[in-house]
Amino acid sequence: MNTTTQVVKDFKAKSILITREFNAPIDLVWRSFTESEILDQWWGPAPWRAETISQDFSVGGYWLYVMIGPENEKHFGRMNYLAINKPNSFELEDVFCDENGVPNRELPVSSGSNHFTTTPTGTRVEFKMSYATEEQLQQIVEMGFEEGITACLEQLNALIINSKI
Amino acid sequence: MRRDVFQAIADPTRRAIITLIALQAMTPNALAEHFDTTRQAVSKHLRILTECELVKQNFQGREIYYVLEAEKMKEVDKWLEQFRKIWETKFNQLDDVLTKLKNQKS
Repeated sequence: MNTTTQVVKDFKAKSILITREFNAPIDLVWRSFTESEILDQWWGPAPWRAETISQDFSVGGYWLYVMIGPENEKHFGRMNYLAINKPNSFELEDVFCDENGVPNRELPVSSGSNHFTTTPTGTRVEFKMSYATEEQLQQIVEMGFEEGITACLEQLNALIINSKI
Repeated sequence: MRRDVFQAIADPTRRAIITLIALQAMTPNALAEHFDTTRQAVSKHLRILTECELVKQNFQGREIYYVLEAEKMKEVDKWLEQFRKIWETKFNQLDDVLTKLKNQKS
């Protein structure tokens, strides 16, 4: 089983595809991506951690969480759920927000879709993130790496989209 | 204004310019023939690319040739690698969580 994390950029489509296989059945992997109690255990890449403020996993609902850094830095993120097709896929929107979940509309929004497929040895996850316009992409690029990573990790995707000519 | 390799590649025209001069050094006039925009617009992009240190000028007689600084493009690879590592860290954490969940089930 190949558990390398693959990242493929498609700069014309302003998107990036992350693929990874897990040695677990699809129902467990689905739960790990959709239940806040489990997300809190892995969503923040060490030394960062994620902590759920609230979650409503239904179409029109959202997950409000905070990323906490090693020096107790806090950055809030909100994942809106747009479509849910259990256990095969869900569509989302990732926005910058404040501690009350109020979106910051001046910052770019990224759209994502998560696909789960059963393989002979486990489950494959394909996570695709894309940005609406070239301008949003440019905005993310201008924000730079440091701010991008601390503000919201998902937003980093855009930095990569155009990275290879 | 921010001037680095990421600023340089954020614009589609600049990406096209990079692709063209990656093949061979070109003058602004030769480059402009590949675009619908004005010669001035192309010059502006070349100025930004120069400020981002992604291209450099070579003077040959009265002509200025623009040459790609290939080394600079490697910064993008580094950036991508950092991004990939972040996801790898998250997914390795998820591996541990899944193992735990599987044990709980059985």
